[in-house]
Amino acid sequence: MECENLKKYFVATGKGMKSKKDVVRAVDDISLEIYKNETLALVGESGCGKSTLGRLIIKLLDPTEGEVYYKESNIATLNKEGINKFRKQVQIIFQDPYASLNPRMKVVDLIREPLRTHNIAKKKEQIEKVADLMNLVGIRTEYMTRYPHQFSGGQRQRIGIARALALNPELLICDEPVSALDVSIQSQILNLLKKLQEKFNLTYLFISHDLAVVRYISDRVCVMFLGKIVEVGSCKDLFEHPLHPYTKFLMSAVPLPDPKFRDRDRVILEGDIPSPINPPPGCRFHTRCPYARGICQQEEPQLVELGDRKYACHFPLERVI
Amino acid sequence: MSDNDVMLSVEGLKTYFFTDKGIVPAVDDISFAVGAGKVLGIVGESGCGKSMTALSILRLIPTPPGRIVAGNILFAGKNLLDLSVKQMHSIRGNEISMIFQEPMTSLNPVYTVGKQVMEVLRLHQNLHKEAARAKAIEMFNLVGIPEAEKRIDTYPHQLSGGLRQRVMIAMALSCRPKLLIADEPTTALDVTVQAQILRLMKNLQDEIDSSIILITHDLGVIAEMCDDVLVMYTGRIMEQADVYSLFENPLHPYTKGLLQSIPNLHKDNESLYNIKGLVPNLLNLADGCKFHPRCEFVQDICIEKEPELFEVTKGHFVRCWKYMG
Ligand SMILES: Nc1ncnc2c1ncn2[C@@H]1O[C@H](COP(=O)(O)OP(=O)(O)OP(=O)(O)O)[C@@H](O)[C@H]1O
Ligand SMILES: Nc1ncnc2c1ncn2[C@@H]1O[C@H](COP(=O)(O)OP(=O)(O)OP(=O)(O)O)[C@@H](O)[C@H]1O
Ligand code: SF4
Ligand SMILES: [Mg+2]
Ligand SMILES: [Mg+2]
Repeated sequence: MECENLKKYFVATGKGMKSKKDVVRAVDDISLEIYKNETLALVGESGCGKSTLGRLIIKLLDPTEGEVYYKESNIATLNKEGINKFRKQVQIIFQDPYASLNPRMKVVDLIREPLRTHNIAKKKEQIEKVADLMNLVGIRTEYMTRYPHQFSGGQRQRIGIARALALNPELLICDEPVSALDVSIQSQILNLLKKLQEKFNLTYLFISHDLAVVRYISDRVCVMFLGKIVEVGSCKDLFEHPLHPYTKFLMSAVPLPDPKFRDRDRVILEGDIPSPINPPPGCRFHTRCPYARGICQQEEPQLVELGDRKYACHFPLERVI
Repeated sequence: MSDNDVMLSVEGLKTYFFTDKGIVPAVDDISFAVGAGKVLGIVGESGCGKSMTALSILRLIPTPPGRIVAGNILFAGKNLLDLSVKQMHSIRGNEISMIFQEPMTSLNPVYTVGKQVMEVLRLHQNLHKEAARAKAIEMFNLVGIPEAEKRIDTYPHQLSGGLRQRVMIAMALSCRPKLLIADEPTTALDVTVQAQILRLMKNLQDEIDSSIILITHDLGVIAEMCDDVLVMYTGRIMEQADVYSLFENPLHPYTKGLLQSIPNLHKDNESLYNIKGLVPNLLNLADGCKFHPRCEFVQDICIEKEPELFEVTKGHFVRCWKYMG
């Protein structure tokens, strides 16, 4: 999977004093690759464009500009058969296990629906497949005839995963799959996702705002800020040696579950996340960046490659220090 | 804690909900004290009774179906449960105030934020309009709202989540409460903004010298902020200790499990621990220890009889048979 110079602009419609012409640059010129069998994490704070990028990649949204390639074919120009195949191979799991399952459908029908839509196998075999999937994600098969509201959040997320796996996909987009769950359930789902990846050679795009979860689950990490990629790198490398100041301050903002570290030296970013409607000129992060100098206000830093790392900053951290 | 150092003490509090399906024991016999000038953290997973504990203290439990069925809540020499509605009203927002998780539910969308803060000041401190406005601006400055004179005339929806939460804090602190109850004050915020708000609460606490009850499901927030901690499960306190003992030497299998279930930001995590099973439904709780269906260390007695909260070392309490006898 590869995307090139992807852009998605929305026309803002919210109330308030904004004029009609306001444009939200939700995803603003993003290029990135997802390799087979890896987990690539997309991290960043609310509104930075993670979900929009995920939706562009699976063609739930069409880009304003730019292309998405899946196994070297441009998904915008696929014919009907190609799209059909693409829709089988790429699936999504949503954050909210409450809103994403139709409350009037039984579990068996929810998980079977993709098989029916794509006309795969006879009913009896479909139901056998549903039973296999339920076993796989750890929901008792006696519960086939229950409705979503009869399950807890974690169980509903398992149902969502079973449904996403029904068509034997290759790529799964996980959009905040554990954010709504309690920690004890979160760790169960994370381990389940890891197990399934190994078993079926899955590729994950894992969207999250929780850096500790990302460190646990991913091979590579892509950090976003206001519609732009600010840094990409392998997981360990990026967390141990962040190059972009935003990555560093995002990490230092995370509260650590050990009171011995509470008095650690740390810089807390001031101010709010700027609006994606009128992002600051130059580097979009400059209004909050303690290292910003003149050039940062004028010139937008480009994404630079450094070995297997990429960063978009005029003063990447090693040089700052 | 000697009596002088105690700001609030809760004894044997039970808050039940009487529903069609049965009695929901949301808070079931909990006792604790909040020290003067201290931050007490209450942590636990969804539905364990954190918010109902807070609402019980303020006597804001929706009745019916809910009701405080037993207990004492002692504050400044009074049992809050004995006060008249009117007396309770003058304590709320004055001596005890509360910050909720979602500021939009507690800010009125049709009034400017300044007006809402001024209203609190006029009501509780008898300030005139001019004085209230000056004081409101002072409070906005104190909580780090930029351009306070201008922002005071804006409506809640015109502010970001972080600024709204600052307005809530300004409002909650404007009467210099002796006790501040903050229910998930940063859960809806981004991490960088959460860090600002937590730092702000800490600084203001030093300044105003109030006590805080901080409710959260995030053990990271507990470790950063609290002096003492209660770990709740199924309406009960499972473990209670000062923050250093709790994190250095967690005793209850549930506390240990929770701590091992969180991935570590600064380490490669090979595999994460899983507490098996689900958070139980309060309508059909297990007999014996309420955690036993999920516990690795379960023995026969755990299934038969519920353990008491037991003091293992000074000030460190745990409700588990492993440590009794
Ligand atoms: N359909 C839409 N119309 C207008 N604006 C939109 C639309 N969808 C998203 N946006 C805006 O685009 C920006 C990016 O949104 P997106 O949902 O991709 O963010 P996100 O990173 O997933 O955030 P979160 O962590 O809150 O889920 C936001 O400013 C959002 O308000
Ligand atoms: N109106 C009600 N009727 C019946 N049960 C209720 C009612 N309100 C709350 N409860 C129950 O009381 C229990 C405790 O709820 P409480 O809101 O205190 O949980 P909490 O620990 O704050 O959870 P969360 O982390 O989700 O906010 C829950 O199990 C809930 O189902
Ligand atoms: S009392 Fe028994 S079941 Fe309960 S936590 Fe302790 S060991 Fe586990
Ligand atoms: Mg999103
Ligand atoms: Mg709550």
